[in-house]
Amino acid sequence: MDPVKPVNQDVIREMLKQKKNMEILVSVCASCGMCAESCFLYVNNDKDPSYMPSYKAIHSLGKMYRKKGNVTRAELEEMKDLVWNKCVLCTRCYCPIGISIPSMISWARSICRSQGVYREYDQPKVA
Amino acid sequence: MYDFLIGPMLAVTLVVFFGGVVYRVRQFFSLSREVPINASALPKTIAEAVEKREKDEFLRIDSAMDMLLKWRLRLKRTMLGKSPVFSAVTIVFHTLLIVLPIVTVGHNILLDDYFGINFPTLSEATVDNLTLLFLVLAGIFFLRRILVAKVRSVTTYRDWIAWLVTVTPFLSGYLAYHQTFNYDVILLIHIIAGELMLIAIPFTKLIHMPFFFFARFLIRNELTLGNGTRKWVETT
Repeated sequence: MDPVKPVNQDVIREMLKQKKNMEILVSVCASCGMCAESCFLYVNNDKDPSYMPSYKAIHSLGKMYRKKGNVTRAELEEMKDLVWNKCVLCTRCYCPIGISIPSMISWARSICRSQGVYREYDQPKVA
Repeated sequence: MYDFLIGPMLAVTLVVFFGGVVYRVRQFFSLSREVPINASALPKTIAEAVEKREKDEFLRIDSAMDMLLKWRLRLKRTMLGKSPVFSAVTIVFHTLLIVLPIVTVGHNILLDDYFGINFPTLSEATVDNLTLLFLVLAGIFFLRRILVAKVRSVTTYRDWIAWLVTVTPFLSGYLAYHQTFNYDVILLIHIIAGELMLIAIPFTKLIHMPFFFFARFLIRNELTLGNGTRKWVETT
């Protein structure tokens, strides 16, 4: 994989458009923070806010929607930690409004993969 | 100025509000579709679990009263069980938000004068106290957004605008009723703030109110209340 290959923002935009319902869900998120207590990773990591389900979704897929797909490779690499290391897609997260967060994280993973950003299984994970 | 605000401006506000909400709700329905649920097509383990639960009279939910009475088994694991204080705050806050403008005597006098319709009202003293309660709860929301780390981590300027736009009509209404400051000015601010809030609803996260009901009750996923019959669709 060529590390300096530019991000194909048209492909990202195409994929974002494919799931317009997620754009609406991200905009409806009331930032109430009630999903946090339902995530076992949040509870077991000293209540670190970056494990909160809405945080993960807003700072990965939400960021892509807000920037209309104009994300840089560095930003995608940052999202890699959020969507792969901080979520296992167990679907236990509970949103009062009924937003399905795992589907958003899963789609963010797909978009990252489409740009050659993958989970690195051979790197030691940050504790 | 006053006549403009309660005349043409009010008409514009209501058109934008109803039109905007209808547009967002139609968006919701166009991005989801009905999916008929065929119980016999479910995997065997799920079908068996459903059958067992329906036979157990302690677990079976037959009515809304059941959902309240069998709280030990279900409520403790929900939002209401995990954060009872904040759940109470938000339920009371949202109820007051919807109910107070309808039961205020001042509003009903205007409605009766101009349109001939009116709603049952509460006494002015009651509404005054409830407004104070509403402002206290709004203050709790404000403090929570600053002090609680997990909420602070996802807060943006949009959340502050939504809070301001919701609180200003109630604050200015309270001040106007008590004739603090210049009554005419505060009254104009009250009307402008109310219209601004209605206009802002379709365009900000405040649309989460109708969305709550549609998404929680209609979309079928793990968190559905009752039988969800819709699922999200791809657009391409």
